[in-house]
Amino acid sequence: MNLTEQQYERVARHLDGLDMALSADEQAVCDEIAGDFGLLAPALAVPARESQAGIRRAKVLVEIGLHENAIGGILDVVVPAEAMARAWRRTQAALARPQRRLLGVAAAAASVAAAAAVLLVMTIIAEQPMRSTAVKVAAVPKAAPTSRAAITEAYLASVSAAQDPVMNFLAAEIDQLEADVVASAPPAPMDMDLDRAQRAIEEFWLDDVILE
Amino acid sequence: MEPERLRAVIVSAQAGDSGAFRELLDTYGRRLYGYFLRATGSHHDAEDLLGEVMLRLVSRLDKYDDRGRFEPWLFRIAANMVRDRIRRARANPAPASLSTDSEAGASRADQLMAETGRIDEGLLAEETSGRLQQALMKLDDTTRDMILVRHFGQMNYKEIADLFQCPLGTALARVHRGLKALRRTMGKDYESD
Repeated sequence: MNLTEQQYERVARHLDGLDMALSADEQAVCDEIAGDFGLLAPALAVPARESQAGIRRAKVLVEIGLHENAIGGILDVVVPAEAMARAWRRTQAALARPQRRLLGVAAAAASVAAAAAVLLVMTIIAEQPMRSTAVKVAAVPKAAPTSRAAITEAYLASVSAAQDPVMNFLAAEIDQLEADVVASAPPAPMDMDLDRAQRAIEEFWLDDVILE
Repeated sequence: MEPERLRAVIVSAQAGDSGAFRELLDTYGRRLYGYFLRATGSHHDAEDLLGEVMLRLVSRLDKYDDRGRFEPWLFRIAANMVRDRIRRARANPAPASLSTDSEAGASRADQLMAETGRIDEGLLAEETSGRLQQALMKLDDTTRDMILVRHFGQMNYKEIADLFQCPLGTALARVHRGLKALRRTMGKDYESD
């Protein structure tokens, strides 16, 4: 026999001890459930001897648990708020460090790219005077022939004059790049404070050792 | 245990009195063990869970307030532990080469149905009890647990509905269907008892 959800609800309330007037069907299900549990009970029961080992073990565990609670209470300490704040600042600093490193790498990469671009532009610019010088040099023999050594010297002088600013600029860029890579970003004031505190602690302990 | 006595024992236990915990274990230990054994089909798991539930009692009893009934509170913890154990066993089934009561304590819930006949055969001496265990393992987890917490935890249907988060009528309908299924599976044994 099956009941509706509402009927089952009424039976449940009745079984829970509420005073409910049940219909014949509901009463029949109620009796059936109570009867089934009555029949099940002896079979469900676990003989005492079977549970003894588990109960003995549980007793030991309870003792251990109580000891742990007691010891835990003694071991627990009140953590100063300053210590927590300091730990958090250090955590934040540690978290920020990789970002600064990434920024440094990005800046170095940008410098290299800028240097390459400047080199390219300056090389193009430099080629213009070289060509005009070459044309002038080529034209010289037609007007007034001179010695080969003089032509070469004039050519080298013009090339050297044209390339000097580029080389100087490149050298400056490389120096700057090296400086960027070697020197990391300046530490934040917070990091500097932490480093100072760390040094002070180390000196304090060192003093103790020396005094001993 | 009389309600007054239980209240006093709980207060003592909350103050850390080991004798009070022993009294609680003596009072509820067998029923808890029976519940764990019937829910998992393994003495090893039942023993393990009984120890675990007592440890939880030690750590959580201070959160218990006397407004509610103690038994449903206790069996709610126990039922959650069983559900967690079964879920973990299903998620991480033990290798087939290990015995059912493995050292790791993993109950192979998926295989219990097939193996229940062999589990703890020596201890579940009574044939009817063993057959009932097999029949219980054929029920779905929720229905089986509802019947077991009703029997061992003496929960009322309102508490069962709350524990399993379902309407009151649904809770009783599942219990009713589960009992009928047990009766069918048990057949003559069940009728003769």
